[in-house]
Amino acid sequence: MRIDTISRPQDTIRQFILDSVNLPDLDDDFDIFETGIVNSLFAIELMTFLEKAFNIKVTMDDLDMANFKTVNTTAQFVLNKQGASGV
Amino acid sequence: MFNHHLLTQQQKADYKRFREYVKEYVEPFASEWDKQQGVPRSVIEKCAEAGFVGGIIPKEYGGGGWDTVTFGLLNEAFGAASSSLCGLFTVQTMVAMTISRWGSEEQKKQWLEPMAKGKVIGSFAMTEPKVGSDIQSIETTFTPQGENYLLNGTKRWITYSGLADIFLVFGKNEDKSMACIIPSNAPGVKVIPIRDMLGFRGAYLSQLEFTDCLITPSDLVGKPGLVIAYVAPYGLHYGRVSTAWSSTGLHRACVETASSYASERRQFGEPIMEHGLIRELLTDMVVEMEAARSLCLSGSIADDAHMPDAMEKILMAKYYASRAASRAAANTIQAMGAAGCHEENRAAEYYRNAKIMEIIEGTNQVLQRVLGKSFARKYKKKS
Ligand SMILES: Cc1cc2nc3c(=O)[nH]c(=O)nc-3n(C[C@H](O)[C@H](O)[C@H](O)COP(=O)(O)OP(=O)(O)OC[C@H]3O[C@@H](n4cnc5c(N)ncnc54)[C@H](O)[C@@H]3O)c2cc1C
Repeated sequence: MRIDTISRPQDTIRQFILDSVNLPDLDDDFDIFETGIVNSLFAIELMTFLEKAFNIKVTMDDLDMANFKTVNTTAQFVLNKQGASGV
Repeated sequence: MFNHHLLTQQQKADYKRFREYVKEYVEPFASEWDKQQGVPRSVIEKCAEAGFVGGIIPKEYGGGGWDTVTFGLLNEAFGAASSSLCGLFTVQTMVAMTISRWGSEEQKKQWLEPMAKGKVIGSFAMTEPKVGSDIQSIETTFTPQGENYLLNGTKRWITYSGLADIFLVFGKNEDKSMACIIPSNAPGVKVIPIRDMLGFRGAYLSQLEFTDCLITPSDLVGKPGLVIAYVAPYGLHYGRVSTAWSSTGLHRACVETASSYASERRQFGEPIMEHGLIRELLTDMVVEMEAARSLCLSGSIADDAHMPDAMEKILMAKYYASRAASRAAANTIQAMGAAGCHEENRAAEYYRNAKIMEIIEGTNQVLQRVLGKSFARKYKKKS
């Protein structure tokens, strides 16, 4: 799998979610966990994807559902993480 | 010999070492451990000295730093000879990898090093008398008391808990899922051995009772509320890696037993191998073994590459490999007739253990529930 991170994090994250749930489109403020569109594995799959795609390490302190609620909050989380580690 | 072209030279060499070890130190004794209903502690200590008990634990904590494929190969090699001993690698790894991923730095230092050396054995305590598949409904409670908690509840069918030094226990504080590490000799812990299981007879299954056990914040693993979503799946994932590969080992043992018997046993004036129906059984067994190995390898390689779909691939591998091993064990008994139905022959033990593989680390019906939902989404055509 080639992971394209040159685009905005939103685009990369949205594409991963769209591929996983096979939806035609997804609003960046749509709550992906509340609406039941993802299965029980998805929380870890998304975390693994973010670690690989953005070269970050998700720690226990980062685990807050608010961070991964929507495409926009996830992108913000990635940017904060990258900022903090100077990536 | 499992000599797949996708294995590295190092993985092939490790697998060879595992097979040689099993041949000398496991195969000749495994049947007795099953009959006596306990793998001797000395056997576990010897495995630990060889680096097998903590192989996958990171090197910085004294482990072997193995990749998932190598850990899988260990389970294939040992799974062919003793499902009970292999169960130790399963649960030790479930606990160690959970601590390695989500434990605090203090917990890693305190537990991973002795676990890597086999000086501390860990058990994964999730299932309860009233709660099996539906883990969201666990009834074990963590009741706040100042900054600490009191742990109360009962866990059942916990592999190696009769021998373990620590338990990774899952429960809830109101609706928030929680987990902690508790030593087996802590005040308020009672361990009641369970004997006469169908399979895994040597794996020290027990019931655990926790009564007002004091849990401090430093004993907790993971953040309250996120334990079922993040902490438990991580341990269960490595449990499935182990179970999937160990099923393929058991499958191989069945193929070897059935082939040997069918080549020697004569009926109607010729070896039963010459009869079409026996050939059909063996053909299906071997083709399914290869398919199971491929799924195990694909999932483990994905895990080593930290791919997001590794967990799903391992679910598929566990689902397929356990079912295939069960079919292979049943077919082995069929090919052996009455001889396969007596405990003097290991086929009967394989049959008993293969059934267990379809139940542990998520029953196959529960895996169908998860995978079926995921596949329906993934493969529906976009309008
Ligand atoms: C040898 C052995 C070792 C074990 N070791 C451990 C251990 O170390 N730690 C631990 O925590 N647990 C352990 N377990 C327990 C094991 O994880 C559970 O047995 C398993 O999760 C299933 O739970 P259950 O037995 O309560 O069955 P139940 O959940 O009561 O299920 C009974 C049947 O109903 C089916 N079923 C349930 N829900 C559904 C559904 N939604 N759709 C379709 N079918 C469904 C199941 O597939 C099963 O066939 C062990 C069990 C065995 C046999």
